[in-house]
Amino acid sequence: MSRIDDYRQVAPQGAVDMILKLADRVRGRRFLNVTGGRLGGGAAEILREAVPILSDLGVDTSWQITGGDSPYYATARALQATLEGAERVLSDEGLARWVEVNRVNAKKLMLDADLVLVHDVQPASLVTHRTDGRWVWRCHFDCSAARPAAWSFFRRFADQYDAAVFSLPGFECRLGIPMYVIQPSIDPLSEKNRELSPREVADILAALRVVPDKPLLVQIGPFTPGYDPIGVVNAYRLVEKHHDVRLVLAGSCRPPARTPTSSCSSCRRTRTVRLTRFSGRPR
Amino acid sequence: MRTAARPFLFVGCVELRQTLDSHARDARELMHRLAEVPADSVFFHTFGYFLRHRPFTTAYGNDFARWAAVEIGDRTLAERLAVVDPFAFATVEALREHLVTILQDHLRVHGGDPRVEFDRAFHFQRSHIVEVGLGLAATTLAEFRAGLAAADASAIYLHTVEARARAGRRAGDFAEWLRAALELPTLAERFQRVDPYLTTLERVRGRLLSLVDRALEEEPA
Repeated sequence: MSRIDDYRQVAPQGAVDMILKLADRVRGRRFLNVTGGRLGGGAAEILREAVPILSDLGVDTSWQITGGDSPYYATARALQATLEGAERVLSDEGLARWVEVNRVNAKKLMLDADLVLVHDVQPASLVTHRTDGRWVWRCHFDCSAARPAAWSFFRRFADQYDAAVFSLPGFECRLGIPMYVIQPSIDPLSEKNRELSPREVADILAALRVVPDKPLLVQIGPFTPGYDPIGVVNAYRLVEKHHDVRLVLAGSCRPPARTPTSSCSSCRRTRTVRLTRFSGRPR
Repeated sequence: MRTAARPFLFVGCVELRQTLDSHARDARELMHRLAEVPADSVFFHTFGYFLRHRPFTTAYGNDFARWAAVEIGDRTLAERLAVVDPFAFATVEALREHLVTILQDHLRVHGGDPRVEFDRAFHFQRSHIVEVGLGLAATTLAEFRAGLAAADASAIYLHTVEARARAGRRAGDFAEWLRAALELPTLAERFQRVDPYLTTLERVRGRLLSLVDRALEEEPA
């Protein structure tokens, strides 16, 4: 039995059969994913589950990662931050280094496939070394408020793709290629998304000093603009008019994000808000 | 039991959504953009609504009405847009013209609504439908019932909404097959009268199944 069959217990009726029929159409085709790392981030989390499932279904699926030195990683992070709308210093030298390291990456990696899906910013300039096949850029973040200078630099690469895919309508910035929308998804069978036992829930709440006296409205995620903690507080304010709930924002801070208390200073007026910072990555 | 010479083949679909880099932040912009976007986009935000909102019933009936209610908070405009039944129009262009007229009238009487931030704007899209044969076939009414019950909900959309609105098969695929291949004109007529407007695909499936059940009960032994 293929592991896709495990999803019959949670998928809508007929959905798994639809996937099997779709897979039949592309059986044997080569599908390559390229990311900037194998750990952390939404793309890696999706691919860890999707690559084996697609391989099971007969699609020749592979996953490669780009590597480099510290300046390369630092520039890629800063470039992505500016495309998300943050202010960062991007030097011409750093950007040139990012392009050069990806030129070397292109020599090391096997990039021949019928479809090459390049995720986010770090490997994006590989497209200048494309051969055959279709190349698609998968953007997992909101770049609608990208810094203009950063976008004009990045767009010269993005426009070389055959298409781009964004997570929501309105997350895109101007491009001269077709732009598609595939909404984010979670894996309901992953360890991260399994049901917790009452004992586990009680232990976690006790450790975080959250009083379990009312229903919880929870966001777990980094305290960064991309996860919109202020938007969650606004959502809570709508909900609390009708339901007596307690808001819990739990997550980690990734430098250079601000601390939870400073990023959510307005929350402190609300007695039912609980801000909790994990020392490690949130689960 | 009657047996059709031509089997009914159930076909589902997946939707590949394309964003058009066309946005509206108030009702006036919505009117202007609505008048100029490709007809496919008007189809996506009206008929396509049935495919995307299948898990629950919603009062809005199309994306324009939902946006007016939820994002700009204009209940009057939302209600006027929500009562537009897309199946009442012969063409998508006629539907577009009607929606633009509603917006024009509303703006003339009530003036413009406040502008919303970009992240709450109306983002025009269109979709490419990829048809997927589900491997379910029927030559008798009992087999048809089994296929109808088991098929992915997108098959209900494709054989009713898409067939009628985009492919020009005004009766819908189910009714057409029941009439022509299975020679059951009464059941076909009942199928044709089932209106997907302001309901969900699962409810449409339920109504169609109950019509088939009734026909099976009435069928002579």
